[in-house]
Amino acid sequence: MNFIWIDWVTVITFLVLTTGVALATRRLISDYDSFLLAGRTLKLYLAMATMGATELGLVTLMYFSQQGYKSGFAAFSIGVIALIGFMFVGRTGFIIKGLRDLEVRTIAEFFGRRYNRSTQVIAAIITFAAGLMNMGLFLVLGAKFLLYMVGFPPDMLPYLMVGLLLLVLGYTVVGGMVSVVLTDYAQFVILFTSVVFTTYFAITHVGYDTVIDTVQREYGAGGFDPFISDDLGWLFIIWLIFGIPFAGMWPPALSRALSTVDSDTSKKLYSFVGLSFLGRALMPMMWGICALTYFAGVDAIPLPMQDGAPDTAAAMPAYLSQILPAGVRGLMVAAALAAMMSTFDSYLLCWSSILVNDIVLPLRPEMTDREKIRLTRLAVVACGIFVLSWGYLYKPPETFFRFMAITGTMYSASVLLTTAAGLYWKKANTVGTLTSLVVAGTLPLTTIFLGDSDILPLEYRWMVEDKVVGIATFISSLVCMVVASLLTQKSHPPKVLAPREGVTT
Amino acid sequence: MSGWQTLWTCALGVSVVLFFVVEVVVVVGGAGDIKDMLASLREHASEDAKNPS
Repeated sequence: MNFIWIDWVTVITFLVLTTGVALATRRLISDYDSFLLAGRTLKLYLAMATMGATELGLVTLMYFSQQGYKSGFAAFSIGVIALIGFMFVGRTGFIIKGLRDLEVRTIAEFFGRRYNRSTQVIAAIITFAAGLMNMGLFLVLGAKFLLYMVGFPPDMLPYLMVGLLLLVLGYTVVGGMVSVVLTDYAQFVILFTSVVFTTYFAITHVGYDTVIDTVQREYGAGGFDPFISDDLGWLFIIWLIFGIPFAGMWPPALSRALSTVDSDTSKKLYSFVGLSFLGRALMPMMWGICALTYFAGVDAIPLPMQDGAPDTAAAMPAYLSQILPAGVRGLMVAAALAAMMSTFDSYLLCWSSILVNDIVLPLRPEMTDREKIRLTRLAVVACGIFVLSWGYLYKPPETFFRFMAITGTMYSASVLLTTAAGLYWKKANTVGTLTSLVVAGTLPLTTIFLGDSDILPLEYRWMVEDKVVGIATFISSLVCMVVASLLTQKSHPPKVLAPREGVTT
Repeated sequence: MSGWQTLWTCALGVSVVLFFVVEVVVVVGGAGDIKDMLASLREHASEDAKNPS
């Protein structure tokens, strides 16, 4: 066991405080808007805190550190591209301004207004499926982090997963978005502080020059140049560039933009909080690179193994557990729990709201606020149980980040691309949108389910590589949208939204 | 140090500074926002209690 009493006191104090907030805010939930969007009362700084805490999850720390371990400094290109994306969205208000002006609760609700109810339901199903699969690895990665940081025996992993799930379900179901926002603020403070401190300890323990030498020795020039990296390469960078206009629009983050007081605040939110997204990627990647350096050294403990191979996802927590001083280690675990809870609760609430608002509500519009809140709470529990099962059963190909990226593409290339078309292209119609949604919503499944299997002959495996499928998904979605819309303008004339309903006239 | 190494070293330094700046700004500004949000939600909840529909 790596923990001593001061570490346990730090973690337990944090848990008591955050769960207390959820109970204290329960009486403020008077209707569905206050449960789901905190009554649309989020001002800029609080929106930044909640978005920053939501988007910096324990799973983020884990998959970025694993990517740093596997790609070296070349992985930093991912963070730079994310920063460019956020700056673009913040400057232009691309998509977020149009949706906020429409006052929609979820992105699929826009499809109901711009197209029709069945398009709304299909968009919601794709978003829901991509989101749940993406979230499927949260528990297993979170539990793995705790396992190695605290020093629990490996067979404790399933129990940790269940414990973490129960913790998050408890206060999400009770408090809704108000408790999520308030705890996000506290979690933001502890999380951001710990990330900076940990980066300092991680680098100084092995020494920056040693880190550079190790990456050079292990990966050569590809450890620094992303274009010649064995793990990344040109295609991977092009794939990420396709996603730039949709940066930070994963529904839980987008729900923060839709919860702000107006669309200008949404734009400022993306510009300001986007500045932290470089560090959100680079600092945990640096922990992974430092872990690579540590485990390459002679004085290191053995790198944890999984199925006979080095467990690269476990390298970072195993490294930090050895080098962080007592007390700081407890603070880091409290921060990691904060990171996991702030992300997990928001994601659970988000997917559940999509299920209720965009799949159930169009079929049962007579539901009362009380029934909607009850159903959302039930959906939160059901989603949690799915994530627990998925974490047990699914083994992602390559690195965890790449799995996140392909599920992200499933959503971006379908739902976000067609949303952009609906907002900014008057000729976008239902047929074009449905074609694009179906093609882009299903293509990435080939990588997710066939990427690591032996079904395809060796010479055709490249066709289901994530970067190939990712690029193909974006291009085919755009082509389907344009061609199908133009071919069916007469049979399916585009719906015209009145000015008060949206930006299309 | 090669060009890429220098670039990534600078990027890491910039990222730490930006991260810290965002944290300070959010912590200070967020406290006031929390006060406003709670006041607004309390008002909304008491209005709903007076006029249940």
